[in-house]
Amino acid sequence: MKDRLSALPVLARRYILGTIGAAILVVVVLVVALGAPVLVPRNPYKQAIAERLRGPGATIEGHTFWLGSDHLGRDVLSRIIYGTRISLLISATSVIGAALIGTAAGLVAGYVGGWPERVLMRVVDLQLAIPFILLALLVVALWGPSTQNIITTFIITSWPVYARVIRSRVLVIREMQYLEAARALGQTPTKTVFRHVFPNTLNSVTVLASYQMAQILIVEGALSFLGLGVQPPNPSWGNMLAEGRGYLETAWWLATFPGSAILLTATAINLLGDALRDWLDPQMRSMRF
Amino acid sequence: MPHILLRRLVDSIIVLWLASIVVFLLLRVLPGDPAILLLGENATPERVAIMRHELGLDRPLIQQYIIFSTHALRGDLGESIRAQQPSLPYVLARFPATILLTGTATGLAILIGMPIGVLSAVRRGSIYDAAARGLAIMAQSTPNYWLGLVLITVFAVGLRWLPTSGYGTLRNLVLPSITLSFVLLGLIVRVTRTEVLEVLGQDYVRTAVAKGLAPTRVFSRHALRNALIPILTLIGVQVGTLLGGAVVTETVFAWPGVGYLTVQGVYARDYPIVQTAVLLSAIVFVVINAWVDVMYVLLDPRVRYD
Repeated sequence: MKDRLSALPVLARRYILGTIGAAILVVVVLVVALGAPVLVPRNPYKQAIAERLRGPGATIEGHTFWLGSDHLGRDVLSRIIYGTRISLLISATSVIGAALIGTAAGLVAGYVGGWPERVLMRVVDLQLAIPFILLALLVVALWGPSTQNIITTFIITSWPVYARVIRSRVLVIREMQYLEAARALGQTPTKTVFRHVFPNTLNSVTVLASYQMAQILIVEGALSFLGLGVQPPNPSWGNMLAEGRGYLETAWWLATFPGSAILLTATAINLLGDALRDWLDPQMRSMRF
Repeated sequence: MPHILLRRLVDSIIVLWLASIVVFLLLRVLPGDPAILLLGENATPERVAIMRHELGLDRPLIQQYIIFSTHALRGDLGESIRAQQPSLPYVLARFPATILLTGTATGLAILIGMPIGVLSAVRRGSIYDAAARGLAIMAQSTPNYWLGLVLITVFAVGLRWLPTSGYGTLRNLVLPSITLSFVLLGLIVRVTRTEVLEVLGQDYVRTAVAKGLAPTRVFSRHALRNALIPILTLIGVQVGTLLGGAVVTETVFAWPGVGYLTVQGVYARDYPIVQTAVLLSAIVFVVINAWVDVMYVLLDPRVRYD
């Protein structure tokens, strides 16, 4: 076993370590999100003014604030754990929704061509031209910042990313011999797309979705940070950061820990995305997004 | 040459036209009265009535859009509710601050990111390469609002080297531009590395090495120049991301640019300001990408628009 490992290039071994680390972290985050109610050391909404702004590790009446307490005496660790749930729910739902719509649009544009393709490409241009966050800000400001609206906003603003990538994949797949064979055998276009084209785009969708997941996690944090995402008292990593902003001098832990949660999770997901790309879809290496 | 440039021009105009439709529709698909949304809750009934007439709210949507777009083409994008003045000049006045910030951040990202990416490619597989790749992924995964707070805590509050916010001196520019440069930095490192690796594998580089050209010359004459084009494309495509990042960064540092103004506009329900900002960023995107197209021709003799 050791021999086989050392036969791998030095580089590959290093990446494997990083990938394993990232995978473990992602699994931990998932477990935390799913098991939040069981895992929290304390009710994340419980306020105790007497216990406000205690540093990490402070123990009061038998309860240890491992990551400190906030300006209302709430347990920061418990709030981060609950925040994981909300942040993951929003980003996972948005990614799935956008991937479904974007892939469908990309398949149609790439396979059918003609005006659907031209319309789609201009929408893609438009999506690139209007900053994601600006549009999200405007939509959420107009519609109100409920979880549902935030998810809808993210789906509306991010599906063209998938459409663009899938379309370019379809253009390549369309010229493959197996498609020629399918056409020659008289297979209907719908069946061809579902049986042959769509399965061959799945790898690209998976890779892209993992990068998008990290991206949306960060943007959701930004929206909540600006006060237009998840609304207090519900904890989200972004609004915890915003609340900690007023205490940078006196209580560094308030902004530091939720921020680290976003940074670590996003890094782990991006690392996994890289591994997925090398494994599933090496052509995407040259794709820029 | 004119053919392709003309097509690009038509595409750009279509994008701007679509952007105007988005901006127009966002206010109309709401349950509320656009006239009240545009004037604010405190507007007098007379002003609302005048506004309703100006917007043509009693007419079909198509006519309303024609009114909106003819006004927009004349530079009239409504009046800021808070400032009580035409919103286009009001937003444009904040534009230089945003250009200064995004320009400096882009410059920083290129100056730091390209050498790291090049070294990473040249020493492929070394510890340095692994570290550079790790750094790039971290940079891309860093929420800029958080990075801004960390930099403020360390360098402004803790060490007291730099101001926490403000505008006007070089010292004010340091922290915001570092904050904004991070996302682009990660991207540039990654793309530079990929491109240089690809270029180094090309025949013309092998030829250049074989004919005895000094490694540094091979690099500057052949490798770098060819890697520069994809990086340029990247920056063009990322203009939107950069402007979006500026929205957040400017808010963290109270930087008086378009982004900060927009966020304040959102809070104050000053929609004309937000509409103007959205349109403006679409225009900036289109102009910069047109410029990138022209730069192609200058950088790459293989690209000829004919």
